[in-house]
Amino acid sequence: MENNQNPVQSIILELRRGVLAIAVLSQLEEEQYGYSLLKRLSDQGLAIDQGTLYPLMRRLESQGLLRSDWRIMDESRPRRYYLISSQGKSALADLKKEWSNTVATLNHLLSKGKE
Amino acid sequence: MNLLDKYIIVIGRKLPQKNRLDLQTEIRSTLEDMLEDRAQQTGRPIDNNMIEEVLKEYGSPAKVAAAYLPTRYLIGPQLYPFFMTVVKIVLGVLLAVSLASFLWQYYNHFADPAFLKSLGSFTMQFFGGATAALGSIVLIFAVLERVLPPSELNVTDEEWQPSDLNSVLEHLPPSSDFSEINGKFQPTSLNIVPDTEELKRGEMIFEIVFTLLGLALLNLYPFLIVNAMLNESSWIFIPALSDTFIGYLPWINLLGILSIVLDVFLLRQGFWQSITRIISLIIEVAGIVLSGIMLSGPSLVNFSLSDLTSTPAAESAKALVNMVHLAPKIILAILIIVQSVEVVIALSQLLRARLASKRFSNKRNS
Repeated sequence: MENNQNPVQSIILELRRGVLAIAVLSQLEEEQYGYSLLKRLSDQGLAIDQGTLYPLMRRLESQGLLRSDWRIMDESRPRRYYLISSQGKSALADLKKEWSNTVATLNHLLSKGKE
Repeated sequence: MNLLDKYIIVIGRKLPQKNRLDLQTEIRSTLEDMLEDRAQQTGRPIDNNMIEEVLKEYGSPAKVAAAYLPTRYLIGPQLYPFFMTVVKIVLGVLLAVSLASFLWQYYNHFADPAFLKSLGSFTMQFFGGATAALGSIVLIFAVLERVLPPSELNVTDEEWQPSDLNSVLEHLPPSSDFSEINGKFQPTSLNIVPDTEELKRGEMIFEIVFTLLGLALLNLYPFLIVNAMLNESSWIFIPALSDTFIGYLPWINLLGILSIVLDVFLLRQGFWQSITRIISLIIEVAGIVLSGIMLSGPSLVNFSLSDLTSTPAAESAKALVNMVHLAPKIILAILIIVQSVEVVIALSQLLRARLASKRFSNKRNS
């Protein structure tokens, strides 16, 4: 039983990892700092581990899809604010299309499997 | 200093210097947000217990730091197949040469009481030599892993040519079940013009590794190149390289280093150009000239009749001395032949590249 669970868990993990970038980009049309983004995603049902989110945002930034800067807002604590870049917006549009195609294809495949 | 400060310091120790402060500040900011959030939700004050809870949730410093670090390999998956091939060749040759040398020394002396003792010391020496060779190969590949640009390490479709399949199809039996398919599709009919600019990455890597190994052996471990003889129960080792050979060493080093520099440059560039082919030709021709000078000069090894007077080989001493002196000359003669063939191939490739480029520019102009 445990042997059957592990591959499923690892597939779910891979599946989630693949879509996280799209989820993060989609939520950064307005700027967010790390923890606020984490909460926002979690409130909408996508709980992400901090150890996954922060390195992902760094990677997206190094790819030019996000930009960030340090700011001290209402409190004395500095926070790093992230915002989607123009390159990121165009990438997000492409990714949305790809996501819709993938969902349609998979739904089609899965419904055929049922017949 | 509270627990949170200590946690941030420990994570920082595991992060790269370049953006350590930036990452530490962000992690601290997040943890402080988490603490604040938790205090609001539970109505508890932020104390050591809460910090401990949050840190436990956030993860061990090693795990947190690891998430920011790229996956690093000593020898990555792209270079690993080349590494394994080099290891097999080097260890195979080492074993064959060591065994041949041992058996030659003990030929007709298997009943000698010292045989088993020497067998033990031979085994130990072989494993010592094999470990040193393996260490050197690992070191060279580890350096290549860091020196070569990532694009060079990625295997892409560009390196694969359908013409590579030609040799495979030649081995299919004529009455194969594939005859019908072959009738419809002949990969040979694709008429692929060989790309004269294409670089054989594998060849380059092998050349770099073996040149480095050769240079390391000649410069760092010349004492390992010995004439070994059995004298009753003990081995005699006589340094094999003569002063004449040592005199040629700076030239050998120069050519070896030039060849490595050219190979690394080619690997980074990813393709041949006329200028690199010409430089390669110059190095090859210089190699032939040096081999010719070494071939016609005095002996390259230290070995005389007096070395053999007290050994079992004394009877056939004269023939043995001649053989030992002749062996490097034979190797040099083979080297000259191989290098000459390489020069002819390089010249023809240069010529083909020039002709192809001329045809291309004529076609474009018309």
